[in-house]
Amino acid sequence: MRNAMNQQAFQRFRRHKAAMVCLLILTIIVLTALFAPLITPYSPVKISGGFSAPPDASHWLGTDQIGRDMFSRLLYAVRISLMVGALATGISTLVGVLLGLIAGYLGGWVDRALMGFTDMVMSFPYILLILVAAAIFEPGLWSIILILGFVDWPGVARLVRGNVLSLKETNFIKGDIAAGMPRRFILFSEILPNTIAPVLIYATSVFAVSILDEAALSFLGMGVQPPTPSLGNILNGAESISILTGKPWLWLPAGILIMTLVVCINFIGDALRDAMDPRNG
Amino acid sequence: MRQVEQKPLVEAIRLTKTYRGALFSHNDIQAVREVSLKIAPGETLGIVGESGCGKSTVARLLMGLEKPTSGVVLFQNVRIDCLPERKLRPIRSAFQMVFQDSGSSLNARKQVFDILREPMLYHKTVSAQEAPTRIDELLSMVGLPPETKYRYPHEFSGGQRQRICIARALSLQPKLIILDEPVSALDVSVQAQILNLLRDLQDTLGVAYLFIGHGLGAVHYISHLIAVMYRGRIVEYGDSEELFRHPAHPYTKALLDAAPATDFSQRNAPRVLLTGEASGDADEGGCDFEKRCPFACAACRNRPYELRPVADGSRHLASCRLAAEL
Repeated sequence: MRNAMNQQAFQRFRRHKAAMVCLLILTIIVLTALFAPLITPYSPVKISGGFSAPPDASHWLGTDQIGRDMFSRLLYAVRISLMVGALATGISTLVGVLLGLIAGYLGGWVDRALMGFTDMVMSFPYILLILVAAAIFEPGLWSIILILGFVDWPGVARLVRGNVLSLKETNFIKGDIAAGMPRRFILFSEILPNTIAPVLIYATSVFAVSILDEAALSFLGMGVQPPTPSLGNILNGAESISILTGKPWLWLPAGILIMTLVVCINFIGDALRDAMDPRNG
Repeated sequence: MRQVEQKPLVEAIRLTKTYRGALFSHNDIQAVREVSLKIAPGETLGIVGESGCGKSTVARLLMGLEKPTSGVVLFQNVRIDCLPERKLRPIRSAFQMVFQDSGSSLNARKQVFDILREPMLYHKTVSAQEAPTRIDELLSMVGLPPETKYRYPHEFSGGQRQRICIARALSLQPKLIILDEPVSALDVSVQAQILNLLRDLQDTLGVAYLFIGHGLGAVHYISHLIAVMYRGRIVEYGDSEELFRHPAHPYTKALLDAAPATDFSQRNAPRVLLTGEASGDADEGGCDFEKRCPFACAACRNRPYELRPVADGSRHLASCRLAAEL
C-alpha cells in the first residue's frame, strides 16, 4: 500500500528516456569501479609496462608516464571520485537538513544566527576556502571529503529552511500543534518526509558538483595525493603541452569519464524532479 | 434551546489581538478588539462576519495557536492564554480544530490510518492494540467505510477529507471543536451532509462547537447562539433564531439581506444593502460601522462601542444605538 506513491513516481521516471540511459551508463560505471580488481589484472599503483606507452592489447588505454596501467588507474580513480562525491554529499546534506530544520522551525534569533552563518559560508569564494583549508590540513582523501562536505551544505540548509517555513503554515502542522503533538514528532515525522524529495533532487546536483570539485582540487595538487589515483590527479599529468597534443590516452579517458558522470547524474536529478512532483499525473 | 445558564466550557474575556504594522509605520492592525464570549458544554456558538473581520483570529486565539495581546482565555476555568506550550500540550486534546481547506489539513504522505493513530497514541487515548478498532469506529462515526484507512488523503474528495479531519479531531475525545469555515470550500450538497454529520455527532457525543462561517445558512442551521463580528468586534450576539428573526444591528440586517431571496414573495421586500468595504483605518472612536450604515447620523460618530441588551434583561445584545428600533 505504502508503495503506491513510489510506484507512480517510478512510472514517471521511466518516461524520461535520457535519464533511463544515463541510469544505465552510471550503473555500468559504478559496477566496473566496484569490481575493478576482477576486471583488470594490473594494480593501479604498480609499474607494469613502458613509460607513456600508447594503448595496445595488454594495456587497453596505454600506460602513464611512469609505466602504470591507465585502464586500472581509471577504474580505481572512479572509485575514489564516487566515494568523495557520495560522502561529501552525505555530509553536506545531513548538516544542511539539520540546520535548515532547526532554523526554519525555531525561527527567531536561532534562525537569524544560523542563516547569517549560512550566508557567510555561501558568500565565501569557495575555491579559495578549499585551497586555504587544503593548505592548513594535510591534503588527502579525507580532508577533501570533509572540506567539500563543509562547502556544500548552505544550499541544502536554505532549501530545507524555506520548505519548513512554508510547511509550518499549512493546516496539518497547525492541526498537529493543536493536537498537542511534541516538537520532535512535528519535525521528524511530519515536516522532514515532506522535504525529502527536493533535498534528494538537490543532493544529486551536489553529488555532481562534488565530483567536479574533487577533480579540480586534485588537478591543482590539493586533493587526493598520488600514488592513489583520482580522476583529477590523472588529469594533472596533462598539464604539459606535449602530453596534451601527443599523448591523448593520458588525459582524454579521464576527462570523458568526469563529463559522463556529471552529465548522467544531472539528467537523473532532472528526471527525479519530475518524477517526485505528484502533479505530473 | 438547551440549558441556558451552565458553567461555560470555554470563556474569552476582552480578547484583543493587535498585529504590528510594517516597520516604522504606526498602522497597527487590530484584528480582534475586546471580544468576550462563552460556550457552554454541548452548545454551538456561531461566528459570522465578512472576510477579515477577525473571526479566524478569534479561533486561533482560543486554540492557543497565537497569544492574545490582552485578554483572557479560560478553558474549564483554567487560564490557558498565558500557559507555555509545554504546559498547554497535555490539555490540548480537549479542544480541537477543523480547518477550511481540508486538502492541506492532512499530511499527503501518510495513510489515514497513521494520521488518525499518531495523536491518539501520543495522548494515550487508546493503547496500541486498541488503536485499529478505534480507527474503524472513528471512520464509521464520520460515515466512511473502514477500508478507507489504508488510503492517502489525495485519494479522497473534499467532503470525504473533511470527514477525516473531523474524525481526527474527534479521536482525542475533545470537549470543544473549533470549526473554521469547515464547509465553505465544499459543494452545497456536500455542505449539508457535513453539517448534518456535525449535528449528529453533537447529539451523540455532547461536544461543543465554535462554528465560524460566512455562509449565513450554515451558521444558522448549526448554531444555538450567534455572534456577528465587524472589524474585530462583536456587534451583535444572541440566540440563533432570535437574531435571524429580529436583527438588532444594521450590519446583521445587511448580511441577512445580502443573501439572495429564495422566497419569491420576499423578493421585493426592502433590503439594506452595503456599499464599499470595511476600512482598515485606525480606530477613530465612535461606531465602526457608521461610514457604511444607512441609518447613521451625527450621534453615531461619537458613540463609544458598547454591547448592550436589546431589551431589558434580554440575552440578545447589540452595539447599535438604534438596536431596539430596527
